[in-house]
Amino acid sequence: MEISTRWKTRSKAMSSGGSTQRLDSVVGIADRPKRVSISAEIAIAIRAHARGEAPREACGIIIGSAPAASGGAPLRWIPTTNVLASSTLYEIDPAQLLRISLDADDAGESIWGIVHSHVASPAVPSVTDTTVAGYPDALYLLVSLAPSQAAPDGEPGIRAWWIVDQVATEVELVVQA
Amino acid sequence: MSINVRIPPVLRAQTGGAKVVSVDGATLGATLHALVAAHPDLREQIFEADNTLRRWVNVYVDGADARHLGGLETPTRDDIEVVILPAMAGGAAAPVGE
Amino acid sequence: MRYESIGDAIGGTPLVRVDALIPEAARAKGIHLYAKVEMLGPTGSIKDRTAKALIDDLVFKGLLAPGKELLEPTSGNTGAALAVHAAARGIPITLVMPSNVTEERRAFVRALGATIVDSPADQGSNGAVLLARAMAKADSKYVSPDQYSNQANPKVHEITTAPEILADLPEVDVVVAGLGTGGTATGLARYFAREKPSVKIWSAEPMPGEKVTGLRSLEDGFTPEVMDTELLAGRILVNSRDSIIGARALARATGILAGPSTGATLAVALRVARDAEPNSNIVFIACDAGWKYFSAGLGDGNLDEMEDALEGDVFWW
Repeated sequence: MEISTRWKTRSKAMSSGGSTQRLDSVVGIADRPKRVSISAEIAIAIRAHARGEAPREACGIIIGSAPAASGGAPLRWIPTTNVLASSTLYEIDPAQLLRISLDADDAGESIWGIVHSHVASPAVPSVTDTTVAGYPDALYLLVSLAPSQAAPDGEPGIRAWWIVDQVATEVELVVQA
Repeated sequence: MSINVRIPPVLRAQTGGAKVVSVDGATLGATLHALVAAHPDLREQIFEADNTLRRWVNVYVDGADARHLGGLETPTRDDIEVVILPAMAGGAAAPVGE
Repeated sequence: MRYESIGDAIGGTPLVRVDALIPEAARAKGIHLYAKVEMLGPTGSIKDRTAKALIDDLVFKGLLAPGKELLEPTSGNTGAALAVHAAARGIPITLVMPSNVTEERRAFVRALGATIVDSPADQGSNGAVLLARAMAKADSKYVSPDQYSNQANPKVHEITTAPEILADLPEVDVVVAGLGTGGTATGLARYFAREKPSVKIWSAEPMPGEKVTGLRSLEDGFTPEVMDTELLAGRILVNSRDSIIGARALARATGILAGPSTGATLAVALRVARDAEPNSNIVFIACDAGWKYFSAGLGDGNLDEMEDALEGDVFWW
């Protein structure tokens, strides 16, 4: 897959009266992997979940051995409920998020990737996405169901991004055969 | 009182690496303020400028979402476990904050 | 299909072929006409989508905490749709509307638990907007969805209405939408510019002037922030008389009983069909149901008498 040009989006502070959220990222962008890969099995499952939840945005978490920014390996995909049940917004069910996060931490595993779908627009983080992103060492995977964004094999296109300090930077994503 | 606040990996940089911080507080709000007093870098993750709970942080008391309890007014007691997690949310929607 | 809330039961509306309306000359050229029937949602209008998106947007931003109340100036479909979604989600709502809005519309939203605040009839929709602004300024409990400037309005049509059309009719060539806030037309145009740039988007608009109050009229200089008309292939003004004629023709020829703005949109679609390339496929949005307009004479009122009674702004917003 070709490496896309660097994409940056910036946004204003999210909340009324709130300051811009800044999270100290553990790993600088320059030190992160230039390419990340996921198994065919995980890609198939993500695409199926995105299709199945349409026309609502789908969401889920990939657990890994370490955060993607640190070079961790993806281990398994966990689809989650979008409590907003919207075609343009998602929020991972807070109860599921708690369970998944505690189980991973207890097992010495990490949040590797956070996945959601855009049902009719490109797999590019929106200003909404970059404003709310709260896990700077995780990989943000976006799946697009828009016909023009399909992968060469006709499947929904998946693109990967770092989102740090409200700026999105694309990462080459390889889906293993 | 001794309330254990469990810190997820994504916020441990703000607690010097601590996974659990023990604080006192009669309410959840007081507990979180005590936490922030001990680790000021957590303030921005938890509170808005007006000291309300940030929209995109989830706080749990013994596994229950604080927003379904009493929010920051939720009474606390010894040995409860508080967990803080940044929310995971977003979407293709219109720009936020405009 | 199961849903957790009536507010979720929106979208996925039917696309119905209505070739019976096409003049013989156009039919001979292989032109086809389809109605996207938006009148089958919880309130029977395309605003069901818009209202959900507006409220979702406010909830997402954390602006609808307990103690807050929705406030919107609207005498038309947006108010009805907001009232449905507000009831479904337990959010208090106040709608500001001119005191001479028809009783059916007032009864509808009252039945859903909405509070109505009257604005002076002689100030029309302008008056409602001004009063709502004053109320919001005076009491911080009010939160306004503001369909005129909230980008969630065009976005919902870009992300839901438009893709449904393309999925049902990959061969679509033209889409015609009514232009009130401009949200539908703008959203359609953005989606098709990306997914099928050959598709042309046309708009049907009400005539400016007295019946369409100054705040709403593009000719009078007000352009809603959500509207981006640069993407449109064409914009045609349609008067009330032709809107009614169009709505009646649609009902009698196809069984689709829609409101006057749909009649206007159909009129534009037929104009486009007249000059279209052979084998063109034209879709027009049937954005609301006709039952609300019977008291205004939609069914069989005398057109000359009706024109004075019609409120242009009620149809379009």
